[in-house]
Amino acid sequence: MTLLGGRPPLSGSTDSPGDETLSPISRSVSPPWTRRRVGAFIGTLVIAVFFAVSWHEIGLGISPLVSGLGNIFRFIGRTLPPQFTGFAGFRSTISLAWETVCIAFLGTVLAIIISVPLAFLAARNTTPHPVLRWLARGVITLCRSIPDVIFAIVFVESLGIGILPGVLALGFHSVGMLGKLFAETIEQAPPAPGEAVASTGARRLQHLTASVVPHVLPSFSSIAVYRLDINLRSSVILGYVGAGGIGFALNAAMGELLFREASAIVLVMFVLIVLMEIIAAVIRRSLIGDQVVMTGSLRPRRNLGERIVARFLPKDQSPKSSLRPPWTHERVKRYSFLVGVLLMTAISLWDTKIDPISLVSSLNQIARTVALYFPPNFSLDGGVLFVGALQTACVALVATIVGVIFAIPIGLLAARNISNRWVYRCARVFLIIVRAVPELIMAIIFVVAVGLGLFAGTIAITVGTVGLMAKLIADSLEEVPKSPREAIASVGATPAQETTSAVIAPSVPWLASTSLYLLDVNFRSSTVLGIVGAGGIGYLLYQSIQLLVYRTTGAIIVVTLVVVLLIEVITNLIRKQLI
Amino acid sequence: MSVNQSGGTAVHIKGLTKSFGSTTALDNLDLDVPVGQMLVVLGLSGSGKSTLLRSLNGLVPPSAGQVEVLGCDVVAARGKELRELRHHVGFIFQQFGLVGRVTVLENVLSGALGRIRFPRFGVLAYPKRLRLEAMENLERVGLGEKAFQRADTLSGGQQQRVAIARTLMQRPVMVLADEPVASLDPESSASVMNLLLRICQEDHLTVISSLHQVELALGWADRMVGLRDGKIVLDTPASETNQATLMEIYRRGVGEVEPASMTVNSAPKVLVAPGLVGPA
Repeated sequence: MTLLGGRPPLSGSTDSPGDETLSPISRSVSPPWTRRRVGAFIGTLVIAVFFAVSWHEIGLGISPLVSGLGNIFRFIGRTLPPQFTGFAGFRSTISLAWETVCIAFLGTVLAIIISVPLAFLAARNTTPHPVLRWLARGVITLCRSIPDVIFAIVFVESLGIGILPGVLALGFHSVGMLGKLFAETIEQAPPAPGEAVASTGARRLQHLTASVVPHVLPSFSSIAVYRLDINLRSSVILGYVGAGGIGFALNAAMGELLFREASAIVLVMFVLIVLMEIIAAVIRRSLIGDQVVMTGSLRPRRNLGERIVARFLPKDQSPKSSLRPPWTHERVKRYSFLVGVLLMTAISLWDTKIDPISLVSSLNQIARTVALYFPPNFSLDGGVLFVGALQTACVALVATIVGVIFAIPIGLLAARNISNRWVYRCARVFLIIVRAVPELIMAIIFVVAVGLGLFAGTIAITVGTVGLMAKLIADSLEEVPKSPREAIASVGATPAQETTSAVIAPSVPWLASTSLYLLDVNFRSSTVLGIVGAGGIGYLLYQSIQLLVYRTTGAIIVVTLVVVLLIEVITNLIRKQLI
Repeated sequence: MSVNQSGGTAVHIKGLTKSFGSTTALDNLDLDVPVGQMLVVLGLSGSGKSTLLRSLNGLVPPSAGQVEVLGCDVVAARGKELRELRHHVGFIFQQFGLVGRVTVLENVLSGALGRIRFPRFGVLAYPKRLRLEAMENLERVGLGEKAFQRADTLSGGQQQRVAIARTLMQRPVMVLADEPVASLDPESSASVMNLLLRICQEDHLTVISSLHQVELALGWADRMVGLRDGKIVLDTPASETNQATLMEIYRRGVGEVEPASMTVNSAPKVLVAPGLVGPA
């Protein structure tokens, strides 16, 4: 019954042109050396060399990690079971957790308020003047390049320990991401409706509100919710330098070596971050769900947000002639989102007792503090600064590459359309757990395990990279078109061959581009982790702050900024070539 | 015929039924196709043509019935056996099924995956022998000079020709084509269809293709089968029919479909067919 036993005679018969006309092919069957290919080749080579050098510099190895495992278990043993007393007293922990949420939320709101006008100035199609555009873009880039911890350190220095510095730090740093993404969204607004509105004789501002704003609003909200999720994770770290919230309690507990109380706090953080991730995912799906083109399933599956909204709507939606827009799902959703945001802002402001006016008046104090850091004093001996920056870059590079290598298989397992149903679920849960442990906590654990230094920071950032990258890979793979996969399966390819040819091969440019973006992010993270003793320029930064040598701190901040900008410019240049 | 012991029968279908939820796509269908025959399946969108073709290489598992292709029991076949069958049966998709972001040559090479081991990444991962063969197939469809362009930079007609070259890489005994030219403009439709058929004739392949263009079908098919609501409503040698009869059946098909079961999408496609045939 089986076919086979050699090639079937039908196509192999003597009159088949295939075998007879096998004339030497004039064309080369090897890919030509285009500029792109040469570039990719050289780029890979350069990165490989840097990687080897960095690996050596950090002194990575399997054996210290293995020997450190014992330390990790011993350390974790000392932190268990979590103890909700003292610094982790139940009531104070809950109120600190709430404070953290407020800081993250207000920081995000502040960032939105600053970013929206900046983005309109920075977008090519809405800017009033090119000079203003470049200015706005400069401010946005500057905000992105300064790690939030540096903002927090400066603000704590000028405004004292508390919530306000945390809000300001998150707010200013978030402008870097929100402004950039908002501006990109505005630039993607289709010009056609705008022209239609303009041809009715509308004025510039009318034109904006009528054509651009409706297009960008859903994306803006979605981006902002995403940022809120990120900010909650960061606000945990900010507490460590005195900017309020639950991180402050963690720092205190760790300082007193009360590890069981610290683990209780970490547990609360973990729950907080997981909850936030889930809430953010639900809100974002509700917001952008309607724009997603449906594929596959016959009936649109309602997400949780829509189902809740549907509860409160009359079943009958027959259009009655009325001049008011009907309360459709969409409209109810938009309004409840807006009301929710306003309500939450009011509650957070009232609860944290932040006076919005003080935000403005504090600028004066901040300016005075910033002046302390100038002129920067670069005279650290032995090129310590340079070495520190280089070490931090090494950590970022190694962590990114190793992290991406581990993230690829995990991402494949966590993609619904590639992996088995149960494996997919387990992988997704695993990723949520990994992502819910802040990199700072990882760094603390690994510092205990392998000692102070670059190694600990590298592992912490690697784990963080695996969590984020695997999620990004899985999400992106779930959007891979189905038809090429079906076609490759139809030639008789094995599942592994099919996945490689139809899923992995076309994703390589995206993978390279996203890895470069992560390199950029990881450099900033590795600066931050220096604070808990994970080496590099961050360690120098923290020491200089402790010693109150302001002008040295200023020099370190300047060097960090320059390196961050340099990395951003280089990675952006390469990414433009890739996509 | 080492590949089939069933007396020169390439496809043997008995009682094939396929339901998607409450919709019945194929309804107790019987069909035999002898080796070397060129068969065209006509029918409205939603009449079950795609499901029929897809059940022949196991892309759609049937709800009930028996499907034997080249002597292989498709319903029972799993894993290696099914891959072995697919390797010998080329499938041309309406949407081409090319991997857009990789080169044309790599797409063609992927047609050989059924007869080599291990996943392959990049053109250079394939042995030179296969690369030469792929280039030859690409020349055969007239796209040799596009070998190292990204597949998604080509026009629709060119992409379908690349897909044909990929199918040739399989060295198929049989080709299934699911509306191969439905997403192309009339001019490239004709050229792609002619190319596909010339190749199939030259290589003596069994062909089963669904098609909307009756005129194109009449030009080369040995046999016409009409589907409606998952049942065969017409089965005739092409030599014993003519355009008018076929169109009559096509039109009557349109008229008889109850409005409830006719989707909005299917209407314009039906209108295209008479339009193409009209001037002839």
